[in-house]
Amino acid sequence: MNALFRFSDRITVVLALLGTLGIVAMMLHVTLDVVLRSAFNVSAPATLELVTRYYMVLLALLPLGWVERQRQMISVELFTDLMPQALQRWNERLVTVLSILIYAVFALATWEKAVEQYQIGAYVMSLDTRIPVWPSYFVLPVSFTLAAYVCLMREVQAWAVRPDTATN
Amino acid sequence: QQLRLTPGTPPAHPGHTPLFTVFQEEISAATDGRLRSVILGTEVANLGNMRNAIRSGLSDAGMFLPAYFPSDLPNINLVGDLSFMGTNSQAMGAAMTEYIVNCADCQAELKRLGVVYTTSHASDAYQILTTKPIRNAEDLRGLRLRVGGPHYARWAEAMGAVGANVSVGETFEAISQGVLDGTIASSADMISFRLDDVVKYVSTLRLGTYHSTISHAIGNNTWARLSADDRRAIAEASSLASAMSTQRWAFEMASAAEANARTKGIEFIDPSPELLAASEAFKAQDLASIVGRAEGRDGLTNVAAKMAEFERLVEKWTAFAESVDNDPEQIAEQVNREVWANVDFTRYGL
Amino acid sequence: MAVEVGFYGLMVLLLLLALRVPVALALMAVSLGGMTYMLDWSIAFSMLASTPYEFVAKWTLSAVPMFLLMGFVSFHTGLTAGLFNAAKVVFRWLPGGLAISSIFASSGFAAVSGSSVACAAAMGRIAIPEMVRSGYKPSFACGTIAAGGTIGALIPPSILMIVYGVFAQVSITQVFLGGISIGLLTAVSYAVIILLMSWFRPDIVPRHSAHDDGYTARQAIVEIWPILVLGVLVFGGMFSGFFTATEAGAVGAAGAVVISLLTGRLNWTIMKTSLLETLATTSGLLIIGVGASMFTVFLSLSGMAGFISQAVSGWDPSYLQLMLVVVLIYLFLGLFMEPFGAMLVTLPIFLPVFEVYDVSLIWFGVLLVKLLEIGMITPPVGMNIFVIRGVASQYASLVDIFKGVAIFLVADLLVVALVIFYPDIVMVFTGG
Ligand code: NA
Ligand code: NA
Repeated sequence: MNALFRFSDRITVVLALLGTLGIVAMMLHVTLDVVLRSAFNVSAPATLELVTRYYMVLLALLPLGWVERQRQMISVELFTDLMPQALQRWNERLVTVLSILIYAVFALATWEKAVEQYQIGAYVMSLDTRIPVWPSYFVLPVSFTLAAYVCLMREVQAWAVRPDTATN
Repeated sequence: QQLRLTPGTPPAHPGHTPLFTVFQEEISAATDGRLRSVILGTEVANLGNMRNAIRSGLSDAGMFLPAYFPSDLPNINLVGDLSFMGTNSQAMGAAMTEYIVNCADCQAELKRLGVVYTTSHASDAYQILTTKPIRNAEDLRGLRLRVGGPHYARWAEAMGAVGANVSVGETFEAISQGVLDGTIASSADMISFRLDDVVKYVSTLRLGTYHSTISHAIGNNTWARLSADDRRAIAEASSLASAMSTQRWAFEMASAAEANARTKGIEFIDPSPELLAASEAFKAQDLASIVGRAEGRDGLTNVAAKMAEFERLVEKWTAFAESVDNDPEQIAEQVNREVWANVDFTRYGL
Repeated sequence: MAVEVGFYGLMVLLLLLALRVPVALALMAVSLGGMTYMLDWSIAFSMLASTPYEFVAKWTLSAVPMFLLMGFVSFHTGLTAGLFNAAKVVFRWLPGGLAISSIFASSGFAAVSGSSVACAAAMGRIAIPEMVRSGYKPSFACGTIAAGGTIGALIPPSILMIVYGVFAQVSITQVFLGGISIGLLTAVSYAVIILLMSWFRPDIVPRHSAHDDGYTARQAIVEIWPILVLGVLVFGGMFSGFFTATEAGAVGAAGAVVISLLTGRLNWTIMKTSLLETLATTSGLLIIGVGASMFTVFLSLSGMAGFISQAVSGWDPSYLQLMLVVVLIYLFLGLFMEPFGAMLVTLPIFLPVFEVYDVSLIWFGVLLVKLLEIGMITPPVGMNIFVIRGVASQYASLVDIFKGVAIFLVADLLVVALVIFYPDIVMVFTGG
């Protein structure tokens, strides 16, 4: 059991770090494009395509599991804070179950989409050059699966720890 | 039943009015009101997610631009990218229609995609809208131009200009910021995207038509549910809507935009003979290079024969369009006679 | 009847939000259920498969992580630390000079940061202790910084404005230009409040000017030149045509990294912290955007957005009545909702109404961001207040800070009224 929790921790961090690579790559690529254009009137290759189809997808979606683990999903906390403690705990478990369901459906749907894009070998044209885009579609099922997994671990933890001994 | 129509463009765009408004009226009239429809906005489907909107059934019919999804429709893009063959806009829409309906390879890839082809419409011949004057070939050197397709990218490169891939929506800002010197586009864009506020010159060097369009792409499941008569009604409604849209885009909007540009002091510059010659030389050489590229990179077959057939149709329809003075209704009727009359609607697209 | 489905959907959404379902997931769940009910499960499933990719793969949205990174790097490396000292050199002679300086330091910070929370946190650490030492009532000192923080999202760059521009399909540069006016107007209105307070309530805001600590203009410039260089790089480059507003984010982030490297302030830990904060904020934000764009499709298909805009047209309110309703709705949502959630949940309903009313969507974007930022300092959920409570817990309780910030709400409402009665105030720079 503990191994599973540790695995979820480690993999979320690894994917989050991959996401930071997306940020750094985007910063360097766009800046390079601006500098080359201003100084030499040439463009860095495929800026628009790589920024939108790769960097954005990496940095926006890969960290989902990590955001879930850090409990940084934006929500409205006001009303539940007014509930009795016990009710709050039950509510939280229900919310987690709903989250697992939604992430799981997303994972399934985006997996089918990724396979379809892979099968047609999806690409876009950057000027006269082909840029394959199908690989980035696989980022989505990975991200959503991990988010579902993180929530599942949270739910397991909530049930494993008896409410009266829960500290947080 | 009620069909959900998604132009993917805002109401002011010719891809919405008249392309979908006329289509909506015509299918209703032709079926005595049986085929009702509702036009949905760009928040439901836009040009970028049209593929999914139609395939999923969210949209029953939408405007589909094959260039947005190059991996799906390579055979259609082959002729769709032959902008430089285009001089008469009505002829290009009709030639596309006749070509794709009868092109077995095109029909096979449409079937794989899950979409049924109806007709195409076309723009006016693109011109170069810029912030700097282009009088001769030398003036093009180093100019940063937005190019909306691989063939325009090759043209720009051959002329010593710098092609740039900028989304249509960002073109205004990029030109006003000076990040772009201009764009190769329909003169109608001066109104649609307010480019008249930022460009100062129009080079009247004609660079061919944008005709890579499926005016009303129908989802497979929707098509299968319809009777053969209704399918014919839809195809013929599409003929008229496309011809009306071409009339609006290539003639009415273009001339309104050019008149407006002249009142705003935008200068129209005819190309020097030397610039014209350089551009024509590129076009000839580029057409010859397409066969090798399409058969190699894109894995298409019989490319020379396909291009020859398309060229034949362009010539045929150009002659016809000129004979009726580009009258949209007569063009649409001729498309129905020459194309749809020969189609068996119990089998087409299924 | 589909319109009813839309209303039920909206009610279920509010219920889920109240039950603390994350905003993104609540939007998704309702859209998914609603689409399945109205059309077909396969259509809903297919929308699910494609919307996340289609929503995030946008060029204009790429400015969001870049401007966030610029702000986080500037803050964590201390590039912005000197702004308060520099503002004091200019404003310390005024009654309430310290508080006024902190407002204008916030405005300076705003020019390199996209969000108001970052602005409040940065200024809070520096300015609150000094204000309290000089005799300001702690609750007011905290309130000043919480309010001043809202300027961070008004003066460009602004993440809220970028996301608004994407959804409303208007030029982000134009909204940014409008943001300059409303940001400066807000700063001036806060300064006036502080002056009035020092006049009427010297027990809260000491009437004497800030004591001259011998800090000179020369020292101030030495301390803040890196941030000035960054500001000139970003705004100068943007308005003189070297890059677009979208590209400005990346150039600004790279600029912040290079400047803090050259001045020896950047280390590996700071870089990692900044990157991870950027990542968490961007991801948490864009996933709401995914949900909101699904919800937009659902509402549009249900015909509800059209129904509401027709109902409004039928009621035929005057411009002022319409604006009063809009202001009240956002002030109400702002009580308990976070700005991005409130904006993305409501835009699908309001944008069609404004299109009918021929209201400039650039102008409305600016007003909307101002209204949402008011929500950052109103109880019971006010993110800026929470942040100040976090960085200055020894000075005031939450309730105290809410009390301290209340007077600034008066200024906010006046600014809102000015913008509604004189729309040209916002449009003066946008030229539209
Ligand atoms: Na800002
Ligand atoms: Na609030």
